[in-house]
Amino acid sequence: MPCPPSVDARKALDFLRTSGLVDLSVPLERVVGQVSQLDDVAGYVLAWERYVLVVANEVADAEASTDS
Amino acid sequence: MTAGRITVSTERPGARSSRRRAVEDRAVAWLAARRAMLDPRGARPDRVLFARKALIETAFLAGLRARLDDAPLTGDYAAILEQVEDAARQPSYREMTARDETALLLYAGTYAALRLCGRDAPEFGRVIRQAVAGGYAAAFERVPYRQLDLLHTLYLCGIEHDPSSMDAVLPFTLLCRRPNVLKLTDRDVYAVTHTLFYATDFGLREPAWPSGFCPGEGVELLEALLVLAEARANADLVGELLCCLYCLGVADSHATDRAWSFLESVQEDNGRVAGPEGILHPEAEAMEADFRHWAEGYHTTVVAALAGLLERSPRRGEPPSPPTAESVPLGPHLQRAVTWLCDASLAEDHRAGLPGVTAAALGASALRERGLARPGLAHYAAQLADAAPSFWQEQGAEVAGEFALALHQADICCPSLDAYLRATAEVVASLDDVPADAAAGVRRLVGLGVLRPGAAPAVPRQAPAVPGRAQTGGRHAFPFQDAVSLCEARESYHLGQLAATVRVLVKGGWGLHRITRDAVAFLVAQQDAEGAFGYPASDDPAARGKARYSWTRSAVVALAAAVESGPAG
Repeated sequence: MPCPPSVDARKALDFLRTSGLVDLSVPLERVVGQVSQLDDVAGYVLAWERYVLVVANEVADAEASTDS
Repeated sequence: MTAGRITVSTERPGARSSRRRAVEDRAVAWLAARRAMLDPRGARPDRVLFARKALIETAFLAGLRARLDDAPLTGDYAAILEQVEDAARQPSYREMTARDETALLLYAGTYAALRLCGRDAPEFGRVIRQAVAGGYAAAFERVPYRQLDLLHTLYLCGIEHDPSSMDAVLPFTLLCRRPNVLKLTDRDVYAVTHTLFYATDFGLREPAWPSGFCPGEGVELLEALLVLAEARANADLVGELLCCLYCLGVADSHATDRAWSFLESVQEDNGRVAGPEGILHPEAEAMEADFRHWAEGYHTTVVAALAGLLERSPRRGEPPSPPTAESVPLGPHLQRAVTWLCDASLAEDHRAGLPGVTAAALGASALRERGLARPGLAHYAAQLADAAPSFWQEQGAEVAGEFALALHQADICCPSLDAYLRATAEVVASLDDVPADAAAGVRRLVGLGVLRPGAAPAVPRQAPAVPGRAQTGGRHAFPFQDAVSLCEARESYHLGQLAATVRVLVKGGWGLHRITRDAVAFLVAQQDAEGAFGYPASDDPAARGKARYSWTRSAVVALAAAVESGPAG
């Protein structure tokens, strides 16, 4: 019969608090970082600012330079 | 940024309506007091287009007011209309319609608004018709929701007479393609809200929805997006999504109440409702304070006023029936993952192998196929028969406890673990009380039979999970922190965080909520042909192996919880 393991109150509470079934480490962060940059070119939905206004702004710029 | 606590009102409907009407009135008053900002003639050259955009959006608010409320336009609404009419009659504005063809909607929307207000301007209309017939302005290819914008605007201009032409575009919209809410950017959400504005003609028509789409599904989507918008304190999206609920006939729901409470809480005393951070281009930092203050708030203030207008509009359809929640069968996914994880855990060292095989046992138990994990359990029970107490201490109560439970159910013995748990139980029994964060561990010891309930110290009570309470009529709010956590985890491909959050939500009774279902759907879509979870996108075999093992272990734990809690398994 082996001796019972030595466990003090602090260790017991630490043990009870510890959960680890789900792994919260973040493997492959570098690759994820590369993917996130895709947002810059994935503008299939073009907002006013990038579709209508930007184009129209060029018209306004041209108009302003003609006036001056 | 996370929104503060919102108290959902339970007051009488009359008082509630008055407060919401006050939000509209104050918002319109703020806009009217700054109506000079809408005039492109008064704007600096680099702000002319901004003024034109604000002009059409504010003009549209006045147009909808004339349309949804039979009372004559007076006061602040009338002042706005005067400003719009004055700006629109100038050649420097009106004649741009003929030259600035890509921006047709900027000008045509203003004309439409004037027309709705009974201030038709025939010459303005004639220029618009010329532009529309000119082979480009109304012809160049637009993304679907902008195509709807065009058709709707032409309808309100009296140029397109049949609004049903919009229905042919709907199958191509994001709204009708069952999007995953965790993947939508703000820009995508605006595509959804604007699709609903145009297709329903701001709640005045019932579109012929594409087959396979029911408006109740749209309501579910809007409500899920509202949770995310409020969690990020984005008043602009909260306002637009609230308007969309009205457009779909939802007048009184927990979601509309929450959205209103939020808008009321963020409206400033003078009526302004600030837009979210970053609503202006970074160059706006250099703008003078007055202009910035207006530019950052005018759109959200227009939206808040529109919400008030739609709330009091009597011209609203019936609310749609709730959708039938689709049930993705999770069992086969979990089974393949459990099998893969069991095999993979045998090749790991015992520190990584134990949590893996324990997760697999949890999955096998949820599937009622405990035999799937038996070889792995037997392997590690033998390997760890004489393990040092420090090993179990390091693994913690969750892994060690679940492993012990699985061994017990499989009738397998691990002497070192049994001795460690008994010794821990003896120490716990000697304590007067235990902190709340250790309570779950104590309950685990009791569940394993190593600690008698009578011998356990005072343990804080566990809040009972009520499956389904959240999604059915209950008035609880989806946890904001978890909603944001899921989005961040999805975006950064942090499958461990995603799995952990799914598990918490499922255990908290939120398994059937659209946000949780979409998180589970995302997770399931990361399973590869071998049954493992996650696509490492790395060519390094060691990094690949480590990532797949970690992700699969986490995904199995989350899916096990989902299978145990609901019908989806």
